[in-house]
Amino acid sequence: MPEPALSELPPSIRARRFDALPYVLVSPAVIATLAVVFYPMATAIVMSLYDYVVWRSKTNFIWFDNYLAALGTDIFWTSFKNTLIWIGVTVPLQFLLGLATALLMNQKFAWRWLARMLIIIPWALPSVVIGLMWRWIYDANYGILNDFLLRFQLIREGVPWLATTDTALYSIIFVLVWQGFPFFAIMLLAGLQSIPGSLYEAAEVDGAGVWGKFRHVTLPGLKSVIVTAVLLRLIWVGNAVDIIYVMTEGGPGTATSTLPLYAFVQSRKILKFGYASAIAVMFTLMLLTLVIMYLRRIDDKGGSR
Amino acid sequence: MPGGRSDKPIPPPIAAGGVPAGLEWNREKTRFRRRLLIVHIPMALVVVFALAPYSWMFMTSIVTAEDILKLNIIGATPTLDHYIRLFSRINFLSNMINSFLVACGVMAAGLTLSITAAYSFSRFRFLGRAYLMKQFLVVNMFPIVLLIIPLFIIMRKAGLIDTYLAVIISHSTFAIPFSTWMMTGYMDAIPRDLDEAALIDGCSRLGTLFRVLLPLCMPGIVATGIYLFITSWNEYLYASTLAGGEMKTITVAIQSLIGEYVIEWGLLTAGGFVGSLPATILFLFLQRRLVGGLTQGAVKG
Amino acid sequence: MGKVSLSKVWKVYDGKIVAVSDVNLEIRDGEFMVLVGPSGCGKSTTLRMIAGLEHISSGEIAIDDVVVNDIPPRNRDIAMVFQSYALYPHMSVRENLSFGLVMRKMAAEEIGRRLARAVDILGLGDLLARQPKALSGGQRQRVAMGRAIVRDPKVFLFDEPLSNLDARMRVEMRKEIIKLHRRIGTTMIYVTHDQVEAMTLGDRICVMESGVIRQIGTPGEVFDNPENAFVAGFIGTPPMNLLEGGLDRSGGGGVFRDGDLAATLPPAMAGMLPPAGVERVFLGLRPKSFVFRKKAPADALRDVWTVMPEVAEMLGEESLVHVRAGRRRFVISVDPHDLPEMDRPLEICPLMNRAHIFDSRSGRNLSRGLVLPGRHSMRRI
Repeated sequence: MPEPALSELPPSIRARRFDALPYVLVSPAVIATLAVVFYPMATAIVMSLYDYVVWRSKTNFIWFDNYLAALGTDIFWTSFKNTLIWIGVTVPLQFLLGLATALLMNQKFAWRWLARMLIIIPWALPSVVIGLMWRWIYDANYGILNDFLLRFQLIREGVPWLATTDTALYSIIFVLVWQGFPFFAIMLLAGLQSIPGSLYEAAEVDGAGVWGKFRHVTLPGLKSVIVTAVLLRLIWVGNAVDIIYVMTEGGPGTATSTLPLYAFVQSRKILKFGYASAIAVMFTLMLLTLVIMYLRRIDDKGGSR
Repeated sequence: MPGGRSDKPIPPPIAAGGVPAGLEWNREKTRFRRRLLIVHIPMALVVVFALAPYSWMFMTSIVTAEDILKLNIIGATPTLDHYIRLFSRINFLSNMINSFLVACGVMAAGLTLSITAAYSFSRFRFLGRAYLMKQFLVVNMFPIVLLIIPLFIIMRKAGLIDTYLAVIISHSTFAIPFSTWMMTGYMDAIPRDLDEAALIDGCSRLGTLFRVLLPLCMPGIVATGIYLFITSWNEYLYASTLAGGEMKTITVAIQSLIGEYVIEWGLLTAGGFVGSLPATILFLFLQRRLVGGLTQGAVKG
Repeated sequence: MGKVSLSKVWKVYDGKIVAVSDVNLEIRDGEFMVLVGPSGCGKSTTLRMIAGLEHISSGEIAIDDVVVNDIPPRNRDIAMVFQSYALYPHMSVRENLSFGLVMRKMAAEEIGRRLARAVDILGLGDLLARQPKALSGGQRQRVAMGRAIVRDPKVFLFDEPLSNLDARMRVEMRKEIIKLHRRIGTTMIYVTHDQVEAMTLGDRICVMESGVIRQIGTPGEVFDNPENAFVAGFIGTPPMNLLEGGLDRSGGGGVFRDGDLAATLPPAMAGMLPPAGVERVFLGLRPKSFVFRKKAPADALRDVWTVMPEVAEMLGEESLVHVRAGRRRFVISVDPHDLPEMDRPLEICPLMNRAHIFDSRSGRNLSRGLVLPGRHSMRRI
């Protein structure tokens, strides 16, 4: 069949008239976001270059002295290490527990609706309540955990979980896993239910076993949900300050101090706003680097989209 | 069989598949055991794991202080002492009202500001659209600790410390970007044919938004609104920094129940239970719609 | 009144991707015009430009001599039926029907009167209180048309309105649309990829391909006198066979040759061809333009082709036999009672007075307009 001549263009293309409406429509949200997010953020960056302390009247521009001072302290590096442990342990555990729960909830059984309803409770609770609740459970003298372990003779004497350097961080990580796994479970369950049943049937016909189906149908089908959920959790867990603040305020010593907590305590208790801002900026960069590294790895592995 | 007694055992009726019924029943039994082991028991354990701390908190809250210190919680006689004190002495109700008003404000601000933006992102292709959408995603990533200090300074300069407005504005930092994303997702799910039909039927472009898109997005708007409400209700860092004095929200009030030297666990757990009640109830009753709406975008993307 | 004219209309995306190219089309008042072509041919884009849903890159569209390029859809006095029906899911059928009138602030009695008329025309009586999701596909289709009827517009636009229906319903609705057009007499512009739909509905049809109009004409014209090889290969079920070969002009007349196959052009047809410059051609023969040698009329016996029948499709009235001749495969239509044996050589004769000759380079029909005795039209009784 002959090719139609399509290379030519019309004598003149009438330009679309400039349409202001879309810009007008986005402007309220954009202006509000600029005002409440971007302006404060810029202020924080500027402030990190000053020796701003609330009760002092005079402030000086000191270049990067706040940053250098922070980098020179032990607590900064402890907090840095704790932040990495905090994210690196919590997110995978939340994911694994969430995946297992999602797979269970994807089975058909009579009380599935009830399980699905109750499982979200940890996620719906305020972090402050969660922190206090677990402080009560972990309490060295009256906590149920010690009571329980003593009764079954798993320990000889009560462990002050949150007051011991070795256990405090992991005790809080456990709480965060408890709080966050329902989020994964629900996201992954929705993902599981969007995988067409015919794929499993096809895999079965092709001779795939339980593991084969999981490996070649479930995981690929969940990929985009996993990528999104892990990303959201990564950011969320990195930012989670309130639970630590309520449970230990970073103690004992610096055992549970993370970078955002350190920044928060510095501003809240010591009122060193310039110094705290410098730490916050560094933490933001660190989180940004983590997110970029994560997204790079996803792309290297074949990309999600 | 009346009078049909005989020495011969009656052969078991044959099931449809040609397998004797007894065998079928046995198989049914082993199948159930298997299900018990791989579904029911693990699921029950997970549910217990999720609920136990919360239940423990509730149980502690209905036991007298003496029983708590004697670790006699399970067998003790229930009491409402802590709840009565919570509302009579500490004025917990006003904290709840504070939280409620703030959460409603956040909901209103988040939704109204995001609706037109979402319409624009979903239905128009304009220069800078992709960039702006990315910004709204990136904003979610900024740590609270980065924004909290400047916001405090700004609010103090504006004389807004300890006001509803301060907390509402600070919560808008996550409410606006979040609801813009959610609403864009909901609108994307509505076929464009409907807009075009409305345009031909006589609507202007804004008319299309209000007469066709918004009514159809209602479930999504409700889900987003409730989610904003819960998030604001549960928020602690901003609320404690910007309104830690006269106008405490519920989370701040709960935290301040921790005394200087002793912790009254009964009072604290009662406060925790009351404070988490609204979010828990909303989640329990609206969970299907809520979760459906919130996961929709992620699953499709 | 409802006259629509497109002059030199182009649609160009991103300044370089041409979707519609230099379309000129006059649609008369009250006419039923069908735009037909394969997917991606620009027919829907053209319709959407008429509706005002798509910006016009170049050229002008006028409705009743008023250029509408910059008039928003709501002021063009048009109504449109969508493939997806686009019924508002949150409104009842009654609200769906009256929405366009309410938007135009029409008086309640007038709305009631128009609704009653549409309900009467389409038989929607019992459905008024229902929600769209409670309707079947055919009912939704009817409501979508009702929504257009109540508006009483100058022009009705249909964008593949029957594609989502099953085959039986489609035939049913086709009939309804014809009746509707006869009854209300409004100008209708109808887009479809289904050429049967185009042939049955249109007063005239406009065949498009790759953004270009390939032919405009009545169904009979388009079927009998395709302007080019594309139209010939697109219209008709099954479409015309197009056999590529050389044109032998030695000896004054014209003979089509491809390997062993030879076909002698009737003198009138040979006389129409340009004297030189055409070497490669397509010979176009519809499946019905072949006869078995044993039944061939005398003048057809000049060219006898030996072919190998490969597959037969029984269609009831006729059987389509896929045959091979050398490297070429084509389709002939035979009487099912007279089915040849498969995989046995068969002798057939092309009825050359029904043939078309297309230039293989431009695709142009070189024998167009040649009225030859025996050339049958599609509309036979």
